[in-house]
Amino acid sequence: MDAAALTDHLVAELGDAVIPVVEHDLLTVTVAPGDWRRVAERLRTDPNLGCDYFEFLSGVDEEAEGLGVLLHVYSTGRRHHVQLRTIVPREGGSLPTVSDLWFGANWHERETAELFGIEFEGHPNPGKLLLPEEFVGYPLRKEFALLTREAKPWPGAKEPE
Amino acid sequence: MSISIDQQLGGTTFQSADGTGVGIIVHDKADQELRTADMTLNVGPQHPATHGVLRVIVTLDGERIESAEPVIGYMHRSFEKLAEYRDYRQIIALVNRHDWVSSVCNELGVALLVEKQMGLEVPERATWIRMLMAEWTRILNHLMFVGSYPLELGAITPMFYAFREREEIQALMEWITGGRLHLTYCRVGGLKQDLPRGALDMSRSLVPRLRERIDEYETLVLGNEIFHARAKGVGVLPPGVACSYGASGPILQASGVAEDSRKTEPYCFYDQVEFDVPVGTNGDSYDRFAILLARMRESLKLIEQIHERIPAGPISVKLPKVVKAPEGTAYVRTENPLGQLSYYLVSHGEKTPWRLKMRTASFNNVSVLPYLLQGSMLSDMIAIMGSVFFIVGDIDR
Amino acid sequence: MGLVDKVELPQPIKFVFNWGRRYSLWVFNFGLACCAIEFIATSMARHDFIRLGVIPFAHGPRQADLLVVSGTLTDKMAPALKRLYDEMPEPKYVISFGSCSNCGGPYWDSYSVTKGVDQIIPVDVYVPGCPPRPEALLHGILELQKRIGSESLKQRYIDAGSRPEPIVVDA
Repeated sequence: MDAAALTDHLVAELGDAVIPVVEHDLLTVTVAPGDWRRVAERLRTDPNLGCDYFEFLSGVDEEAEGLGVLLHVYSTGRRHHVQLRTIVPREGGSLPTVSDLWFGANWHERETAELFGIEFEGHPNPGKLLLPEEFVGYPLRKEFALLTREAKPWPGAKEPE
Repeated sequence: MSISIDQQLGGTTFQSADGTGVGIIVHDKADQELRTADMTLNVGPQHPATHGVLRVIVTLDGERIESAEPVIGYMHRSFEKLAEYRDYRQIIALVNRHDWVSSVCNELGVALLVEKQMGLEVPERATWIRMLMAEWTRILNHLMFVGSYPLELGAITPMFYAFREREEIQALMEWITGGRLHLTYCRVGGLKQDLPRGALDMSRSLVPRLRERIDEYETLVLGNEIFHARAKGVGVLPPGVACSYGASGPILQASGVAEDSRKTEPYCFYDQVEFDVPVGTNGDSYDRFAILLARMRESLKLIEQIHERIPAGPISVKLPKVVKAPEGTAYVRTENPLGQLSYYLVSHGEKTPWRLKMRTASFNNVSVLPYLLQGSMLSDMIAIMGSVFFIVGDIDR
Repeated sequence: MGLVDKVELPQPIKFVFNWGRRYSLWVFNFGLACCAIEFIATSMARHDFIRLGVIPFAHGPRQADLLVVSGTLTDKMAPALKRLYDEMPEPKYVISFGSCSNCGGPYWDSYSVTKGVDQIIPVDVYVPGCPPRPEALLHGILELQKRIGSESLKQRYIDAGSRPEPIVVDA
């Protein structure tokens, strides 16, 4: 199904719980955090959508709005991509886990949790994945500064002649 | 004897059914059966058999693995944070170093991503040459694993043969780009420089030599009965589980799913050339290795077709002095030799990205390891881990 | 090592001891990242370093006298490197191969990378490059062998402030 048909199908099924946006032929559906699990289950189990292949789950720092979380899945049978997006607050943001729907989400959620500071409820084995145990802070947030760059300004900031 | 046996041992006696003797059931002082304890074994992070710094904590019951937990992050170099401070040319130079045996395939994704976001039309010559370099890099990558996987199973010779081939192809890469391992050849809008004189002839002469060497590998390794015994039926991955984990590349194709980005969502001019996607039947380690050799043959077929199709023309688009990607998001998916490599860009219109997410093949492939290793024997652990074909820089980024 | 490092040896004996040590360096390959691929390529048939006497098959740090750190060292991995370095018996030498292990390299501003292996262990030879060519590693090994040939173990271990300046191989 191409992006337009997917949009129609999702809007028909879920109404205004979803806000679809199509950019470069890719459908991104924004939902509220409360609907995250419900829509993810729908993506997995609906025979018309059939998104069985897990691509990635990650976060984007949206500054004032909060932290965006993005789930990208693909259907090997129907060859379409769908992105599911939501925004959680910067402090205390949490989402239900989808690692029982797609096993690959297990590691991706752990990585997003340690890099952005978002909690995933119901995750079978939470804990740091990439960072050392004693690391403090959430690196991919915009307020986390790289100390080496603070010490010396980036030479590439000057425009080339 | 004056004292009866049961009084000496403190156990209960019973008369055996055919009347031939007396049996004793013994209990120890605490009246418990004898129990054994599981052993936790730490493999790595510095270990000759793991490819780089991967640590696996294995819980063993005798020789059988009860659970295996990979601990990653020993090569986490924070690419995604660094990308937010670098402009697009610097990102292309840095991104070579993640899947460090396939350089051009990493860069290709970033170049395609930025060109998609900017709406640039890349000249045909540049696209065909990009495909040529990508296919040679694919063969370089697969040769690395063709050499190292038999080494883990005990065969030392294929390693030397594979590196001999790699040196010849790297000589070609050096002739074209100047680099042996990290090429930094793609640029946003085209390529760094045109092909030098003699490059296509060198490339043409390499193809038949590589072909006969791949035949040699097939007879040397795939026909070997020790290899059969160690790899057949070991580490079977069902297709549904593989898709759910997001595994990709040779691992997914060995399980029977013909998912290859070059065929299902062609980028560059992959829809104008003919090639097959080899698929395995059993999903075991033997199939994963055999798929590597089959993929190398398909790449050689592609290279021969590309030789005939490269047109004359410009090599890149004229860019403004400062390359800025317009606001918005973009996503590109390419077929890295190890699997599927995708990039997701969020741009706020500056010369550095706001967020660049790199979804690598090895991250999802290695997350399948706990599933594959559970229930297998310790001696199969290296055979299974090696057959998953990962590069640690690709896992941790 | 008994007497050998406590006394300044006469030249003929020193020559023989150093000759033995420099041509049988057993290397513990601490291959971390991309530079490890170039290290393996240097040990293969084309740019063989086994002909220089450097044998890459040390079974572990306890049987090695040369440590080649090739690749990026992260803060998570650094304790392992220190521990393995400490397990090597003296006299031991370290070659830092590649710009990531020299100074952090292209990841100079990362939050998780140790900016240079010399923050953790003392280095004898720096081989710059990203990745360095195999010929650069051969050059580095030859320079190290020259240095070992003229070395006095008493100066290295007993005399204060005696650690010689590390060699930087020019590209």
